[in-house]
Amino acid sequence: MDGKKIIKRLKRLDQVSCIKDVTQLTHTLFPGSHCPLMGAALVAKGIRDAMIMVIGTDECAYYTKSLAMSKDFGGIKGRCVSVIVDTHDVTFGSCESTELAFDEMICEYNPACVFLVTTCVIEIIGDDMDSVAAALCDKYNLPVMAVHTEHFKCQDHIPGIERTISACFQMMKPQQMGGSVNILGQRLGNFNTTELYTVLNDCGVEIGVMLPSGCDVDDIVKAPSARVNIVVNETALPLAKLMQQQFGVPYVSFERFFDIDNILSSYNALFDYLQIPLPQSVMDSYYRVDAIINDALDKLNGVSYIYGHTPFLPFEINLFMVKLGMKPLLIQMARILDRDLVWKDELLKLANPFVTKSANITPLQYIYDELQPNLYLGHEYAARLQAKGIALVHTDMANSMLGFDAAEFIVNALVNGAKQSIEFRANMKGVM
Amino acid sequence: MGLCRYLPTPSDRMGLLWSLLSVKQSIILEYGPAGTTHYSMGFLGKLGIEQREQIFTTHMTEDDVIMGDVSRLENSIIELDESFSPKVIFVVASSTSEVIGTDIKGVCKYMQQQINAKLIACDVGGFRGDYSVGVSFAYKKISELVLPSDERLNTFNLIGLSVGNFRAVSDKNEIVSLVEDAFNMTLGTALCCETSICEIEHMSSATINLVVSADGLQAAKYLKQKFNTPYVYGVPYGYAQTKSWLMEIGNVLGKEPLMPLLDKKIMESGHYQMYKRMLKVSPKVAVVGDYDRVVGLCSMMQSLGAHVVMKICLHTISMIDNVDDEIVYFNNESDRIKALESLDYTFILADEVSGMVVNKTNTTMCVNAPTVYKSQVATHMPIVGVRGADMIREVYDEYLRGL
Repeated sequence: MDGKKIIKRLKRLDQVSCIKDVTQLTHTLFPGSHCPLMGAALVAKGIRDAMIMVIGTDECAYYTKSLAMSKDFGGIKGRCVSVIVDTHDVTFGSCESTELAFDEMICEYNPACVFLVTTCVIEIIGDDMDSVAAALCDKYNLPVMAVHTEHFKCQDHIPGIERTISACFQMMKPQQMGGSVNILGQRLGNFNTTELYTVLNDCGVEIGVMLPSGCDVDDIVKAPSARVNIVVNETALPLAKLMQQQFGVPYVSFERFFDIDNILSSYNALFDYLQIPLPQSVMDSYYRVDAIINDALDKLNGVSYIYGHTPFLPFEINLFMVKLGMKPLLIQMARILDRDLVWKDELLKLANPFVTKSANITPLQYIYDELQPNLYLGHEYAARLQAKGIALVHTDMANSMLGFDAAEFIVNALVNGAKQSIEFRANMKGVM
Repeated sequence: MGLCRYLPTPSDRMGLLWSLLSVKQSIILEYGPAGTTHYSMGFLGKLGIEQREQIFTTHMTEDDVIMGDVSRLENSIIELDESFSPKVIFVVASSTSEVIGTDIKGVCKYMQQQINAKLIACDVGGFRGDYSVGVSFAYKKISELVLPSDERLNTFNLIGLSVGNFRAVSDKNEIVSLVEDAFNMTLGTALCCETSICEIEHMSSATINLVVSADGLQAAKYLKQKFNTPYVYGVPYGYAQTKSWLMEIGNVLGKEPLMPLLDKKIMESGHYQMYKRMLKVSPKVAVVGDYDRVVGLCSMMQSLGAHVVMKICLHTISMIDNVDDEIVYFNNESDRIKALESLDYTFILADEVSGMVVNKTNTTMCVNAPTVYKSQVATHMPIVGVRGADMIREVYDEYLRGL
């Protein structure tokens, strides 16, 4: 592969306004993005008494079951089952096979709810799984929700997560308003270890449902009793909007921001809804992390990077890094949402990096020599990068952070990475 | 098919992929949604198969599905050919491309003139059957790449060794060692385990092809017809069976095999037949696995004095000639579970899932895929040959002591 050729095909940030405008590094992909079916399985994992029934080919079902053999799913005999479609089903429809398999499943398992998850083939042949789910719901007096996960209509696994979380709305029932807060969209890491949890706990705020991480169906049914929903990931936004519309539960967006002013705004909005004064500890953290950021400015000024695939808001974190004086060379992304545009526009005032779709590791190897970044953020092979003088910034630990601790973590990681990159390059010169 | 509670039987496409990925100097291009490729990485990685720069996906969008536009596939073929200069590009269908009726063969045919690599269309998208169909397809397609040769070398090829099965690399090493010791012959190549296009092209120079699964028979017959390479079909499970297998190869080669260790092993395991008479309860065995493994292990266990009470094949057997009537294949998972749950006080040689289903009065040993929690690090722990028989005997002894 020719790195120069690959770069020549790429667009810059000012040339794209939606994800369709963003080009891939190459026509072919490896490994390619995750599938929305996997996203649905990841959500079902967190709802302890939920069952997931995959309707698809042996291959889709095999990989999903392989993923779902963990302890959280109950092991090999656990909460993930499937209906395998064959040529007969493709020709005559899979609804009957699904209903028969569902009857078998009900006899052997005791689920509190079932996600009936479709796959590409089912969506192409057009089987009406919404009607099947509705009929099964009536037949067994059990929440049965169809989740559509065809990958040819979306970019990656995120829509699968979003649709499965949104499907939980069907289980909710009107409740008397209480004083708790729901945590919506928390999937990575443990919410109980976050800064936000500590702040809420110190203020005596009760945590309601944590969807999809660590709840059961009964918690979901009672979710509308919350005073406010805290949306910690974009995948839960549609559900939060539905809950606001139907049950009058307001929501606050408290995603994994890195700009400390964004974090402070989230805290302010949340405590306004809770009608509690903003705790002094929040302001203390704000000033403490602000000082850390100011200290880092010298060390990060001019440090270049490639931004890889991470579960963060790409334009928010990139704007944050650019404000630290860093130089983005290439940003990989899977989507551009309307709410991202404000950060994208701000970013464009300061930089205009190349952009490309994520999840294509192979051609990346050929552009490192051309772009020569100091840092790579996301998942890559550290040793391979080191050989090119690039430091890998491990960002996974930030997945379980919400609050100023995330900003503090990332700044420290960037400073360490920048230092490493200097060392790598010095060693390379020494070797030469 | 009913409800599938555990791991479904791997599809034709999965069998095809793990076979083709074992062939270096080639590239696989999947025409389908990217998620399936990414999803397969964990599974293929567990089999010990390297994927980097060997498998790619085109991805497919709604436009491609609705309009049937194949320009994405055409561009990808050109790009891979230019970027990596592989000898062969296998263009593999997906369930999506199969359902919408993409003519993969047609695309490969008209694209071939502008591509240096040989394009091989694999229209096996997941609906032709299970993995046995896919691996068989792979062996056949690959054997068509073999070139004529003027010389016959003192080598042998293995055909039908599937890396998808448990302990495949160990099995390969054991067979190579047996044949080397017995006939002083070396391995040409193994379909499909750690091979390359170059090795495949030179397969016709081998003196003999050893077929170790029914899936490889079609390829061996083709090579016999095309290059007059003789073949022997059989798998060496157990001491006595390994001896007769080597004798059969010797007959074809016109050579007497050297196998001093085998006679000693056969002699020292002769006492097992006595257990049938000595023990109050007769030792019972059930074997679950790939067809040839079931046949071979049942024969081995009978020679160790066990009464075989159940033989289950994990894939369809309709394509196999002269099939053993006692071997059953359950299309419905619940029927297989019922059969397995009926076993008690039995020595069960099976895949890991079946081993989890049976009750605790049984003694189980994993000898077949699929695995759940097991990994395969060792390359010297086969199921076949002398070492394989030794390992199985050790667990069988434990079972006998508990009777």
